[in-house]
Amino acid sequence: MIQVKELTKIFKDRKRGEVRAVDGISFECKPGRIFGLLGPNGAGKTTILRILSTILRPTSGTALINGADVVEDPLKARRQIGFLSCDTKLYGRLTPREMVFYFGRLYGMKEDAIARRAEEIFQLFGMKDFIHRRNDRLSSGMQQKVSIARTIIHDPPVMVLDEPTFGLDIMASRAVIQFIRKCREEGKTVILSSHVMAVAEKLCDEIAIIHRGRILATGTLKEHQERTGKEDLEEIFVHLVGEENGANIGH
Amino acid sequence: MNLRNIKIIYRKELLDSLRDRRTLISMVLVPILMFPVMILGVGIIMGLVISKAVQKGSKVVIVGESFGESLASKIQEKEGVEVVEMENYEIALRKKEIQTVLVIPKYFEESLARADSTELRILYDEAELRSQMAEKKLREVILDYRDEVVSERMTSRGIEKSFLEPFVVTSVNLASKEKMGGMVMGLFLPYMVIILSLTGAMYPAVDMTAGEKERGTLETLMVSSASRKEMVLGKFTMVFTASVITALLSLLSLFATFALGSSLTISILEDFPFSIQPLGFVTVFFMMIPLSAFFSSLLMMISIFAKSSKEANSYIHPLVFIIVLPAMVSFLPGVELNSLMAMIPIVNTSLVLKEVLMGTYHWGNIGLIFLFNFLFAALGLWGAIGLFEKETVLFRV
Repeated sequence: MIQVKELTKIFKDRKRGEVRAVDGISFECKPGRIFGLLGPNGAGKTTILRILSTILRPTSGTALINGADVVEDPLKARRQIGFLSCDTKLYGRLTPREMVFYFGRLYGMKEDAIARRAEEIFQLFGMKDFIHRRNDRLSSGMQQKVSIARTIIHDPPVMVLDEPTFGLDIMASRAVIQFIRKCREEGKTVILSSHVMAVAEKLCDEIAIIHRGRILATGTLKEHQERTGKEDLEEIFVHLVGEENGANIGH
Repeated sequence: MNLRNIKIIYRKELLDSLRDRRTLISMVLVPILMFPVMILGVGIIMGLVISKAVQKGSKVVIVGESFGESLASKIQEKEGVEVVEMENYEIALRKKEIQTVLVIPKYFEESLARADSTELRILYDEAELRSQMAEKKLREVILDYRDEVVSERMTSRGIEKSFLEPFVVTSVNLASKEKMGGMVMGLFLPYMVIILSLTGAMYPAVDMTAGEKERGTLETLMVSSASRKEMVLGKFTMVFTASVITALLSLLSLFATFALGSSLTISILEDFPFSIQPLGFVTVFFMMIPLSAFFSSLLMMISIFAKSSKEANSYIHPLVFIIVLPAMVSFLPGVELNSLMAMIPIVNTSLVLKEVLMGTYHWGNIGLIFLFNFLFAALGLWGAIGLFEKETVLFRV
């Protein structure tokens, strides 16, 4: 369960002055469902997810991760989260096994619990052959699997995924999509961001369309279609952005 | 703060560093090889150059040989000296065809016979090793000859030798063998060890912070449930370890080099009174610990701020120059340790190491410096943690 309340993040930029990357956003993600943040680059998706994973602190507002406040108790919130993005890379000189154990230990798990859980994950993703090879000598598909294993070693109830299939080849991106669906089956709360409409269409139970730090509309794909009278997400998106701009001009 | 997390991060960084060739080179290879290569290498090369120069001997032109035949014959008898004849001797000297020229004035022997004073002139080239050596040899022969002339004149006038030498002066050096050895060591060892402990910490500090930003692993670490403070402390401990290991290895290597050097009696180490007490060694190492901690925290601060390894390195290079100067204070004669100096980081260590190596132990100052340097390290560490907790620093664009 994720509850986002009036979240705002202002960056100070020397050239542009104050930038409202996230502007008073509120939404809720429920367990067993996949929540998608959809929007172009620079819409504020990554900033929202970084705040949820406590890497960044919000300027105002907050979010609760299974009840843990990201501002008040970031360490507790982090333990509830598995965070994966294209910016969370692997330590090249460690092996997948060492990598997974390192993070298991940092999440406060006992050695035998890590060993059991790691065994399960390596089995599930077919990683057995390469868990003793160095990360920097693995293919990108293998590396993505290691990243996923690192994300879920502590069996978090909430998954925060920033552009999870971005830059992956077909095999790696298939593995990720299967993994995301599996999380839903297990009843985890999943929030993901994407600028690719197809990914959102295929995966998400609920989609929030984001533009310039604000949510333009939230709902299932069907609700979006009914509301705008458009078929696919791309057109829905263009329609909503046009509406927003029109409203701005109207003011 | 959770000690277990600091330990987990430290162990991982240690493993990671031990697999990194560049860390191993700067932490292990450089401190071990630096001194033997520098000291023995320079010694061997100097020895070769000198022995080659000795073998070749030196060519001397004597101008006005006929005015001082007895002196000229003495020069001809001297080993390693070859008397040659040449017209344009000054040009030949510049072209290194000959090494020295002796100019004997007109009527030299006549003026000796009259017991007058006159002048002999040696031309040589101070910038040339062979010419320098030839000048020395020539001077030896001439001074011997002068003593002969003087004692002849004295006997002919019935004067005793003690008339000219009413007493002899003998200086007795009471400095212990340790102090003499320590003096030579005390000049440059503090500087060397201080700089090496800095360079040993440099690469890991940059790699673990700015390097991680660059490679995208820092964000991975930040979503783990370790706190920012624990991350800095875990990484700092590893940088500190690297620095202390570098200092220790460079000390061991230095002592081994001197021991080996004096047993090989390589020319510059010949009769080098080398002997350092174990207490001196231990104290030097002990004093390096807080300084290493200070360097580690300083380097951490800089490289946490930097966006990339490249940027970190460009900040660290000027820092090295800033640190080299106070580290060189041990070279300055007459700069003594006092309680004011004890409060200046780097200067205090350089001076206290020099004192310890010369066998002087001011335990009060030693304790004071130890504490002060740890205090500076703590300040640096506090700064590093502060920077690491700032998202504007971690996500600089």
